[in-house]
Amino acid sequence: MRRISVGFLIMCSALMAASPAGAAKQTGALSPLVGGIVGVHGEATVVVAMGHFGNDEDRFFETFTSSGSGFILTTPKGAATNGGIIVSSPRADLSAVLPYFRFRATAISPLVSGRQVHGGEVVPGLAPWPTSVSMNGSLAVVTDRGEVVGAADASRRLRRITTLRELSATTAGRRCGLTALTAVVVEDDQSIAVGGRCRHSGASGIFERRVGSKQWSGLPALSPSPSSVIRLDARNGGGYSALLAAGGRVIVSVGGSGSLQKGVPSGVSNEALRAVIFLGPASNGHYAVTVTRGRGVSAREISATGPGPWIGPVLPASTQVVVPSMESRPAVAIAVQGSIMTERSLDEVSGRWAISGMQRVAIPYGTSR
Amino acid sequence: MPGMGGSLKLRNPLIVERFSSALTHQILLVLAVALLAAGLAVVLAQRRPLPPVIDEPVARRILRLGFGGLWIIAGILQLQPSMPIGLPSAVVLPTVATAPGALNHLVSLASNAWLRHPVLGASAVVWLELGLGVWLLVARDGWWSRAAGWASAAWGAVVWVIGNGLGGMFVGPLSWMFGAPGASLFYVLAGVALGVPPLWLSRRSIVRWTSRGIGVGLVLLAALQAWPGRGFWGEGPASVRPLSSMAQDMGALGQPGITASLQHWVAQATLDGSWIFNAVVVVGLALSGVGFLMASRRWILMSLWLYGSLALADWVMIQDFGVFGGISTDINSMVPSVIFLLAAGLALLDHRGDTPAAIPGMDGGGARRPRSFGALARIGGSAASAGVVLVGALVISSIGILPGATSEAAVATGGTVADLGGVPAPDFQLIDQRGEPISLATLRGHTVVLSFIDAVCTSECPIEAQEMRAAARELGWPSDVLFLAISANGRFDSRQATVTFTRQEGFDDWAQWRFATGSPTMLRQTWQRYGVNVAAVGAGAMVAHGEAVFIIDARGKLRATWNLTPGPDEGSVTGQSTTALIVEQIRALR
Repeated sequence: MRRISVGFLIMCSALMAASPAGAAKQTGALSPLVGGIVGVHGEATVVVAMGHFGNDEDRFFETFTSSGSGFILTTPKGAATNGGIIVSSPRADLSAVLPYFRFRATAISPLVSGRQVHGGEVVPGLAPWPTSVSMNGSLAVVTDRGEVVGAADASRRLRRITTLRELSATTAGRRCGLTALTAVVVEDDQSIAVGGRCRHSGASGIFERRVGSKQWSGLPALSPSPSSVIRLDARNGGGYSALLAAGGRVIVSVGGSGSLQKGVPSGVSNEALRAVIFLGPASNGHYAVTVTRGRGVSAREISATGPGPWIGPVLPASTQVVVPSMESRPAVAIAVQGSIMTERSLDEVSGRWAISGMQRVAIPYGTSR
Repeated sequence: MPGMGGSLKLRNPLIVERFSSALTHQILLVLAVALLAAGLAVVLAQRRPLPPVIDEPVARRILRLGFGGLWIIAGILQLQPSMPIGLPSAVVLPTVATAPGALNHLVSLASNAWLRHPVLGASAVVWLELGLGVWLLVARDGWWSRAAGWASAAWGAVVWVIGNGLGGMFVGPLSWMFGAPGASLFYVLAGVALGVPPLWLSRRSIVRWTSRGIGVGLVLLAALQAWPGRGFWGEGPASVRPLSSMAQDMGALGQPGITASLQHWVAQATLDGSWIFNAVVVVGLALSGVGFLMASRRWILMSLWLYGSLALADWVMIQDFGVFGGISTDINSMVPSVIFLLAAGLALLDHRGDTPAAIPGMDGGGARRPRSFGALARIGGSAASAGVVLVGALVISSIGILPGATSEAAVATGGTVADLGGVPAPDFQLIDQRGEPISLATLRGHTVVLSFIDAVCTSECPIEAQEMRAAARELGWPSDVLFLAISANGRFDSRQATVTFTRQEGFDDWAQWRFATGSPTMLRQTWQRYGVNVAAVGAGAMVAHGEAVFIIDARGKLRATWNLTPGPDEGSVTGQSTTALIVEQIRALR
């Protein structure tokens, strides 16, 4: 059985600057939770927002996983998804559902190859960011109360690992002016890295705790501007990829063992960012970013070595996420209007997008039905 | 089902029975107050000289008898079984659905107060309106009669603003044919006319200005009716032509076959011939208005006949007599408006000459009457009915300040409580959030409130749990009552899930709260044994599950069950009422 888990994010810098610590709530057209991940065997799982985007109550998040015949609906059952979905940790079969309505807990559901298996867990409310939950042997989550809690596995009682207050009090935390925790990753050796949002330019906003140590060390700044961590993803063979926003631009860096190597600037504007797909632990830290381009939407791969070419022509503005070509599968763009999800595949010969599938998803409540 | 909402059932048998019982019991109180008031008034009256007798102007008599009769009809209509729940939900709130915020807020506040104590509210209005009617009929002259007028005006104003949403001017197309400016407004105007000194009704200037006001009002209503673009001339698609739509809606309501047929005919006739109906009404209203403005005998008589004929036709064909189908609180606007215009017209006819009216008995104080039995009876009757009105007014005022809520709104929303008669409760073998085993044997000696709750339900389950705690608080945190929730989600059913839910709701310190779960097989069996459906209904949706609540007594016997509808939050009307229902059922066993 192939195991997949996914995490994702759109984070526009204006919102990042304005949101209160650890309690960001999106009311705009899209959500920072829209995006996806590619698993170790090339299966892509994406999260898209459906229904009425401007209405929290009527906006539902749905999960689609690539299969031989296109993307199939794989949203976990048994918990409402109008708060959002995090699909994270490629090797850990993990999705988290964020109900929003006066609910201070998050349902975590195991997925196997995009399919839900019995036995979900309920944990303290997760922060609504794509990598605020990570499972790689052990489980670690960033809560909406500014804590990082963890356990040996999802069924164990979660214990506090650190808090925003603790990290803010460290030398790097003070230099950074840490305002929120936004990401966590469990590395292959069970070391943990936590990412946050900095008010000052003195640090990267990434903190590491090595296995066997109780000390947190902050990593140095990569940019003269304040930076924010968008994603942290484990890499094969140790370490992690970090997707950061600094100076209005998105940068991919490689971290681990107390160091952070600055990548080549991607050229992608943080404000234009609509969705990010992590292309898997074996991708050497590659991401596919979907961005606003003119009046439409376009996508390209970025990595520590710089940006790749644009994937196909500009797409309609309703496009939420683009999955690049993987192995023998063509690139696919997923657009949503209300309750209808439309897939467009990129024809490699003609270089054009063509509609390859369409699905209507019954939105369970509210006026979106 | 969580998230699916619940609707009010207007004729719930339990509420009908409670309403009937309340009225029966209140008769004794009302009779006692009436007799006391009557006796007191008669004794006081005998110690004082009776006031001078006046001959009541004919216009005043028409208003007094006419509106007295109308209040009695309204009081009788308030006896409808669906009134406790139906009045606010089906009559009052729809009239302000599109009204400005302040009015909407005011009416919502009043409706919520009513729904917290619906039986009390409905019975109070019965006595209030019957009392007003009798008071107006009995009190022919003097202070008692004028007081009846002011009381009638005051209650009419409350009904016009709160019960009627300013005459329903924010609902649908505003039209005289549909009841504008509101029946209650005529009750207010008539009440004011009865409340002022009777001599005023004979003053030329007042009568003239009243006549001009009526004339201008009728012309304005005619202009409104003639205003193009509102569908009354038959413009626009057939489905939005208001006359035909109204007749269709009326005809669909339960009523005798003959009136249903009439409504059907009107619906068909106005489908293409709407402009004919409208033209007749516009011309008729305009001419009636002109008649009152001209104020000559011929014009007034013409206006009265014309308006009376129009109003009668509209009352029968458009307003469907005002009482058929739905929940009717009065006979609508046509009859009160005719009575009011008739009184005004006759008052005007008394002044067709140029001399001011002279009322026999009013020039110089009037004659003194002996203390006849009839006079004393009228004073006693007036005082008795005023006492009944006072009781009704005090009770209807009090529902706004009474704390908490009764269980009626919850019963109307969730369904009647079923008496299970003490059959043995189905057993289960589960563990609670603390990891302790829980079964019927471990619950012996405790009254158990058993519910089914989904630990990741985001809509009603948390509210339901909070209502359970509110019930425990109201009962004084009894140690012999356990509030047991059984997991109603087949996927998120771990003990950790029950722990998280308990913590999330702040129940860690509540010893009587148990949230039980178990193996998938045992949970499925338990759901099945208690008849609770649990189903994953779709991607992105929470599990749908039944929200039955069971009361199990200390011997493990099932005593009662009902379908719980928690409401939008625990502080809402339904929420408070649900708490009251739980408390009521537990108290019934203790």
